[in-house]
Amino acid sequence: MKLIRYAYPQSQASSAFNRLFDLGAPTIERFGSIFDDLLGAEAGFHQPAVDLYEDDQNFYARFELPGVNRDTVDLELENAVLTIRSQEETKEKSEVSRTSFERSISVPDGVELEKVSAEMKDGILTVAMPKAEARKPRQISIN
Amino acid sequence: MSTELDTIQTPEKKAHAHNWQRPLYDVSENDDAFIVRVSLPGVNRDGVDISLEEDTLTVIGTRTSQVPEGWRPLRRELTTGDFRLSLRLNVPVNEAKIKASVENGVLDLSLPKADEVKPRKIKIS
Repeated sequence: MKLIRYAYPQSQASSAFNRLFDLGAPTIERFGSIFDDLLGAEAGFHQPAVDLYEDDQNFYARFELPGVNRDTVDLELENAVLTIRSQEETKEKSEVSRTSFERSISVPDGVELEKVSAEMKDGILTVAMPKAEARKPRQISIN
Repeated sequence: MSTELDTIQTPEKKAHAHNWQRPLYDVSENDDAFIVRVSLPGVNRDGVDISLEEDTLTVIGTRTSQVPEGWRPLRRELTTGDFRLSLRLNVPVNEAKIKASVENGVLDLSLPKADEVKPRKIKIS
């Protein structure tokens, strides 16, 4: 028996353009594009990729959202689950295209909800979630 | 001992000097131009370099927003490399009138078609 790696089918449009323009360079694409390929790009459904970081004061979530207008993004933090949602309609001539996505990630406990802030720059959304006092590292002096 | 290690490690470092990735992109067309939209998250207008050499269009996007020092990763899904995209154009374009703009991490390139490939309206006399 042979195991053959399953190649995700590409949408017709993108494979046509790859034939036209591809120079054979390896493609590293975000995981989200797999859903586009499976459901067809018309479904307009993908999950944005996210990085989670921490330093002594904050947890940080970084989302890559190229081309997303900040006004269409909704952020919600509840029970240590951070949810990002966006729905956008663009009208071009007589065509209306809708893009929407939603992603929920779990963040560590102990975030000061009132002080969460978010910033969008060059297609990258950074959410800063300050740690509650009890979670911060503390220097303990030895007497 | 340390010199021996140095000689072994140096060539490997050079080989990994740059970590490129191919960005996602779309190509569409209207009567006058080809529109190329390239997704370059984390790149602002200063980090984009576009060149056209013969029939190869190359877009290089260098990330301008880096993760600050001192942030410890808990989970990583994003790639960190810079972007490079080479497209071979199989139609003549008007090089002098190529326009580009960068907004929200997306590069919009407009490549006007050369006059000889534009659709021509033929009047019936």
